[in-house]
Amino acid sequence: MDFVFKHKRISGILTILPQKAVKFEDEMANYNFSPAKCMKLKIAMGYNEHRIAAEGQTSADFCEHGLRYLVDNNLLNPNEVDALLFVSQSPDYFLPPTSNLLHGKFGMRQDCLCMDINQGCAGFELGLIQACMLLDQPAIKKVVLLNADVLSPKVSPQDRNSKPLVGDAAAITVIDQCQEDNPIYANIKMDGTGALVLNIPAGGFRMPSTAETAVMEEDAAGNFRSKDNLVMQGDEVFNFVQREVPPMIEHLYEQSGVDRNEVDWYMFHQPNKFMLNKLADKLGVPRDKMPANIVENFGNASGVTVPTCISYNLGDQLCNNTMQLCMAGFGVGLTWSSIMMKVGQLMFNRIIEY
Amino acid sequence: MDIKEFINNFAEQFDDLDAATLTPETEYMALDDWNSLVALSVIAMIDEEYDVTLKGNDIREAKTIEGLYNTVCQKM
Repeated sequence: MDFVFKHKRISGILTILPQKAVKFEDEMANYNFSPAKCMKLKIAMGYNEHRIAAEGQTSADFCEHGLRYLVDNNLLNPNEVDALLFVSQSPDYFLPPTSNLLHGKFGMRQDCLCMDINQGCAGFELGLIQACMLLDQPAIKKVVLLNADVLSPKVSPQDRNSKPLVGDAAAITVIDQCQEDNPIYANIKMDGTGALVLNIPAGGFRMPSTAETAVMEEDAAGNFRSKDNLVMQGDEVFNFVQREVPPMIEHLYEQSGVDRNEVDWYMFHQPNKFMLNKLADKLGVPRDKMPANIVENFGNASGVTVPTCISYNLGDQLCNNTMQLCMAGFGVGLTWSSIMMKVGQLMFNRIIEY
Repeated sequence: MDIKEFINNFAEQFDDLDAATLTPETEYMALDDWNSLVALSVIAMIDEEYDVTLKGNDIREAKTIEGLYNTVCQKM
């Protein structure tokens, strides 16, 4: 599905990362593989350290801390928020929506629309598309998009497939109506036949958590996880990304009229360095235009990797300049989405810790 | 597409493996340097060079380089 939006812009991005950094080496003993094999994987995948939330910290906590920072620094006025979107796979409760909880903590107006969206890897793109659709309404002038996930508690410590890469984080993106055209081109696709390729089997209503769902089982590759844990079919996901993402980006070039060489930065979802490098190669794009450094420094926090990638790699540059960005997210759902837009003159584009 | 060329392409997916040490009978999953990442690299290479999409299962079932070569040929 293709979208085009005008007269909207991103005015600021704040990424909130956990203070706690855990090194790959410190978790190696948990895996059912020799230290030598683990080190080889570390070098090949670019694992290094990842940021993990402290016990008891939830996605909502990171969002609250970030919102508090923006308010205290006069970067956001809660009264001006017309819509609050919380995009996450780790809400505080089944009900009420986490966006409502945050709305209450900051005394936002009754007219402020609150919405929780369950999405992961393509969460930033989907959230941005939803924000723009809302901003098409004359009365909605400012949308605050929250992307947050604290999934580390759901990943088995003995799962060498997933544990080294998971990260916890949150990001706040403020999107406003503006006078300038500033066209935003976006597309999004879904394939529910691949829905269970990325899954946490137990804990929802389909299969409630019980003593049985907590039992650790070994898979064909020697990893251990329970039904309460995240399970990811690595090769299926890899094939999916290689197959679907390049045609989507090619379509985006056509749709937007922007040539691949005019793009300043490819800010893509960061599953791991290996997949991103292969993707850059397949797209015929120089690897250094597609940063792949988020997993090795912070881990993969699903929908938050794209704003993290932007804050970390560009920082102030995006406050003082305007750049042509191509963003993309792909994964859980299966969902894949991309956005072509100019981003710049941001009020803030930074990382804080919590 | 000949098996020698396939073996060369296969060997390239490893960090430091001499193609000369591989034969069609080599059981690749038993190689010291084999890991899930090499498996993904092989899948990517087969996609790029031969335009064939393999799954992890195909890799696990083929067992030998010749077995894998035959699987790819069948799908071409």
